Amino acid sequence: MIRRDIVVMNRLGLHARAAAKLVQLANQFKAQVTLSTNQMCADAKSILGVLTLAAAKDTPLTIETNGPDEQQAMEKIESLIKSGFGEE
Amino acid sequence: MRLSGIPVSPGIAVGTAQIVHVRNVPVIKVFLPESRLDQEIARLKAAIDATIREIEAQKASARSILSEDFLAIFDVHTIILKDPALINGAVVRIKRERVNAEYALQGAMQDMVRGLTETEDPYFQERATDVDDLHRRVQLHLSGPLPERDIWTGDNLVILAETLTPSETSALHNAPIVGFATERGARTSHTAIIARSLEIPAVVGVKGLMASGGSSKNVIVDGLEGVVILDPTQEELQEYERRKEAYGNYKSRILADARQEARTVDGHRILVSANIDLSDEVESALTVGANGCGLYRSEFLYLSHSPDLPTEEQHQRHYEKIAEAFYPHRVVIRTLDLGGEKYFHAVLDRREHNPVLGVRAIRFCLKHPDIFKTQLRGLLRASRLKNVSILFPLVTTFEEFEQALSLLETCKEELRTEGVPFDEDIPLGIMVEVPSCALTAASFAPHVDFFSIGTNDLIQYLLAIDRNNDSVAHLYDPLHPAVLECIARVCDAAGSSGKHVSVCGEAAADPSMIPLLIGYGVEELSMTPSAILEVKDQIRNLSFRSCQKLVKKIRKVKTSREVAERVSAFLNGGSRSV
Repeated sequence: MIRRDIVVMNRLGLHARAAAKLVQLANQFKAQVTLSTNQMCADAKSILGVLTLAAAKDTPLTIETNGPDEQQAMEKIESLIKSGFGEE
Repeated sequence: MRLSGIPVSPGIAVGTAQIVHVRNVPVIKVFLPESRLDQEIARLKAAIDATIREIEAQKASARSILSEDFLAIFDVHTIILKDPALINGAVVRIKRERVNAEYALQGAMQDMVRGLTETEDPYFQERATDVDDLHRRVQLHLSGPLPERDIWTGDNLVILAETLTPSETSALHNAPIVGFATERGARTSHTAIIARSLEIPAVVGVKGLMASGGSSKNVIVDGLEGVVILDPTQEELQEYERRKEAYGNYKSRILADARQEARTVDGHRILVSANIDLSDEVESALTVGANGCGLYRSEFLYLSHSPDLPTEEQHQRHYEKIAEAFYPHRVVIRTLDLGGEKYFHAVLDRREHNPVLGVRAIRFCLKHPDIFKTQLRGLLRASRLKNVSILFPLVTTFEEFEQALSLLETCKEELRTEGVPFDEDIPLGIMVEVPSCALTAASFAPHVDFFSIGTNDLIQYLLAIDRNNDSVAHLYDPLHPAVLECIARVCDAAGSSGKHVSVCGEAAADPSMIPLLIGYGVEELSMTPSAILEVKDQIRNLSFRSCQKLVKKIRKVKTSREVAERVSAFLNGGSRSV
């Protein structure tokens, strides 16, 4: 299992469009992917879960990946969040 | 049996009746023995998978008619169906409560809808109806193989339905469909728009269609006159085959003339331009020889980015593409007209009771100068080819216009300082949609380059009619003397300042309105691309002088019926005489 801390950087936070991108990406891996704030924990493969986190800009998040492709999953998800979900 | 409705897409179709029912499967709770549960779970997963495959297939077939941004909706549907919270929720119910897949799915879907609503994310709140639609579709798969699949074989199908949802209409795209008729709907409904873009004859608002159409085999749809004939007689079939052929000949003749200008018999030129919502429509506008784009509705650019807002660069790139496509013709870009009854975006206040009379269009933009300025700067930067014009919607007072103008000047000044090139002479116009603006057009005339009369909203505001309310739809009347008076005033005001007037509502393509508009002095008619060829053809058969005489006579008329009679007499004789 890998665990990394990150901060949500995009202006709108994990809103619908960003959440959809994240879920689509997480679903490409076998590894289990979870996101947690200091209050809740959510399955990154569940749109409902990710939206329920309601992570606004500057929210600290912990990403955990667990499974055969955990390394790759972690890198891709981390870079998606760091890129601000490709928002301009 | 002969029924009548609203013709929304021209042409005549003769074909086999195909009823499409929106099937709501009643969900029944059934208790199952322990030994059946695994099988039930497999059945549920198979139904969800089948629905996902169906959505992916729809996305693929819609690719040719919708832009990438709109296709993203299909991905969201797939994500919802793949959500482990949904699948696990249903599986847990099957195991724990020992119930059937249908009942378990219903419970899990309800939780999903509740969860999405509670996230307070406006995008998903808007999607609540989509989730219901998804639920219905999975239930259909659970209830057995879809009958639609089997029946869609056969040629020349005429679709009869209560109404068609977006998912159904896009699924129809590849079927051998020659016509549409629906019980409900209006000119602006989804079916109407799709039918026009596919150039398939359609009649909507056909009362009694579903009650009588059930047992019909053959059907005629006359999208010219708004007639639907169920099980036509031999004579009717012959008659309509003849009309269909005549219409086909007429279509090929007007297509051959697409590149020609639209001049009246006495040489008066009228510009016939296109109303464009999506950049996909540019191609079809150019094919029919549109003299530019008389109305580009920028709302869709915003909707495709919802809940985000497009950036200045995105505005610029988007408008530049359209300006390049139409060059050297002119492209009129209407600034954001969000709100009203049509378009919703996360930035709007959803608590308005009466959004048509609320903070929409220019009112919204002036309230949010930062959003407005981003668009104006993008627009100016896209004007380097010097064929872009700016149009402010829903102007009600002169002060509003002044404020908008001063924001535009600020943007120009900023760009000059930054050394960014733009068209210094970019033409500016206002939309005349509110009666106050029509009545005071003379005050605006010296300060604008052109007026664009938006007849749809003007009629709605002038005659106090909700366009989407079936019970008052009959009062929606472009020939009402008050409507004509407003148009005449705008043309007079523009004429005395030497300014250009265009009309960009439905009226611009209405054969009864065209001689009147031309007579009043309207110089440009902007419309959905599919109407352009026919309007050009009509203009070529009119004389400007006699249109002018016609409107002089009509100014004294009291009722729209009398106007209609005079116009019809005019069109049946004398319209060509100089």
